Amino acid sequence: MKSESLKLFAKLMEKGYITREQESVYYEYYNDSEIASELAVMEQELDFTLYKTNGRLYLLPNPSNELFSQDNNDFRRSVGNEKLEELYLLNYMAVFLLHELYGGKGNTLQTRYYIKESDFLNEFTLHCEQVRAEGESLKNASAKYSMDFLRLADNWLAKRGDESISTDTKHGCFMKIIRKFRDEELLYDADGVWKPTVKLNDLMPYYLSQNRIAEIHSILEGGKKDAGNS
Amino acid sequence: MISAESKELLQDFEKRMQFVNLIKYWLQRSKPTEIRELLHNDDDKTDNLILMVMVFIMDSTLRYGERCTKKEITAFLRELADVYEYEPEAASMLADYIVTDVLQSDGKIRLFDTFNTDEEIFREKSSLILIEQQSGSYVLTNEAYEFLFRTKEIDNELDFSVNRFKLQEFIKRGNYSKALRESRELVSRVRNLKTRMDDFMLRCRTNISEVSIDEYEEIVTQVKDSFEDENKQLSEIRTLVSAKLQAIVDAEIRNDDNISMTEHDIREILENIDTVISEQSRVFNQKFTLSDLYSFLLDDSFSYLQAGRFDFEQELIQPMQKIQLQDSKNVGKLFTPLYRPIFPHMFGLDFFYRRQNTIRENIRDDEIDIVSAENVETEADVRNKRYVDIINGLFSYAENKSVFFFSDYFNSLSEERLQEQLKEKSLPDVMLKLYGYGEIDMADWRSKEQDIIVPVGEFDLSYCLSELPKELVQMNTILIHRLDEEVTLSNGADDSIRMNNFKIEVKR
Repeated sequence: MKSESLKLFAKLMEKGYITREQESVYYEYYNDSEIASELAVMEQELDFTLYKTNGRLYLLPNPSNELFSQDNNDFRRSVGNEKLEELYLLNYMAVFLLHELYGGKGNTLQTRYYIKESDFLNEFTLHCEQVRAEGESLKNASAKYSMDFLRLADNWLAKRGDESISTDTKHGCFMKIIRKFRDEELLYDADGVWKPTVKLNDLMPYYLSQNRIAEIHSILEGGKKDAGNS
Repeated sequence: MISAESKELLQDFEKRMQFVNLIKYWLQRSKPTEIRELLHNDDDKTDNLILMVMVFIMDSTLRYGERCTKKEITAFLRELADVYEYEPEAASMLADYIVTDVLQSDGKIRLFDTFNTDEEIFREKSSLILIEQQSGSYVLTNEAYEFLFRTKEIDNELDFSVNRFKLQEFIKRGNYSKALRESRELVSRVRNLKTRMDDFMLRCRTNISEVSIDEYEEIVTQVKDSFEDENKQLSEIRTLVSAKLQAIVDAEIRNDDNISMTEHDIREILENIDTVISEQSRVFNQKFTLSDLYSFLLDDSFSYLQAGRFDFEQELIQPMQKIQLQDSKNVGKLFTPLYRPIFPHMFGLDFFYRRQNTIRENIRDDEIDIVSAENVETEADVRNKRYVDIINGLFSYAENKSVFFFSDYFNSLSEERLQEQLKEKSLPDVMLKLYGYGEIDMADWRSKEQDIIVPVGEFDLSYCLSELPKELVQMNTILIHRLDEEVTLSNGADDSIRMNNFKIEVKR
């Protein structure tokens, strides 16, 4: 194995990507076919995906990667040891936030260029109110929402509106997600509004790519299987 | 009074507003029920339809010898019936509505408050889109033509040539003031195109998936068509202008004001032409960089764009609404590709630097199960909560008091709460730590940006404060004095803690 291949891998592990401008030497490595093919072997054996776009090369751990991917426990650590109910809420909020930004159905993926905290809180509250109302009125609400999800909506609606940063407040929950996304370089503060970074813009087409559908299903269904076994 | 600078900025503001007024003219229209039903209550589509009719009228009336009556408009609308899903027979009614109700506003004069920069006041300006001639043919007003041109034609490659052509004609006829205006227009056009190219390249770099091939082709064609032959023509005009300038300089026998004005104009025209020629060639060269960049970026991300996308709502949001709490442990994995890779914790430096008390916790016999990392509430959570409860209790007790004793505080607690706070000697520990601070500067704490790290079970005042409601932390400083007097805290049936009492002073 060429030493450059390992150097490139190590560099990619530092922050998850390299850019043509900032890490030009490493970026050039990848143009070497021998190095590229050695990286492809690592990709297979170490369970990650290399994603090249817009002058950047990303190393994306696959969800099945047990070695260096982040899971719920890492998420839990980074949002401050919250209870499982809060983690469920925070994870759901994070998905909802991504959907607010990239919910486009047609040719355009991006639906917002930035999001304001107040807008997000309003949208999410509205969403939870709707879920709550449906949960009460629909006869077969359980087909659509789990009891725990209805509790999640209640949990959100009961949060306080003040500015304290605890998860007892809407602001606190929002900031936990935002801090995580900021630390992961997915959003940045642009004068009081939150804008997607180049990284998030780069990764969303991959994230929502049809190729990943089986992966997504297995994550969402994996939990059920475990529950069935226990 | 507007400053000269702003005044210059707002010069001809009226003209800009005129377009807005014109758009409002047909957007703020009457919406009779039968029309709304016919067009399925879809305002967006109705806007499209109205603009299409305007374009049709423009096109018909620009053709030599053609007339545009309601009959032609009806025929055009019949053609569009399938697109907008209305009965072809309804075309006539629609034509009536669009021509009369919308484009002529039921014959009512429409006035819009419009800012006049010279006078610095708002004046009512009227707008009009369509005029019916005596012959029954419809023509658009000049402002409507201009508006429609601006929506497409002006941006087209023709426009540059038209300006160049006008410049040439004005110079031939010796109309230098008008020629000067045209030359300035040319400069602004070429700069505009350059800005658009820069903007396009930036967007390619930021997110290529948002840039369509049509857009790319449009901009490249525009550059190609506008500039390929223009360079030669512009050089010819330049020669012409230079000759005129020479003639004027030669003939400058009388020092006439008029002539020197003309000379000044011509010099500026020359300068402008030079600017256009040089900027033009830069834009033209940039086109090649653009082509390379675009094809490179496309190539890079092509495979992912090709695969298509799954339905975000259907595949992610909805399934997440159905899972049970216990299964939600898995959902963290959903973000795996977006979060950076991290080496396993067994290799992580934090393992070596982690608080060593973890080991002691393992052998301690208490009711908290800390073996499972999956456990919902770890000992750290329990302690954090207890510390927050102590600080919360103290601060709530301090509300509306300027001085109180530690003994007052714990005597005010319910037995149950006191016992909880005494677990692991938490309450005495906290008091000693607070005493260690001596003075707690709350104003300073509030003014600092709070980037709180959740502690792993140790007492952290900043964290506890951040968990309190805002109204509880509004004081300036808190002073803690140790007293000689001793107090006894009874911890359960046979255990008690003796410690000094404290005096707590709250300054607001």
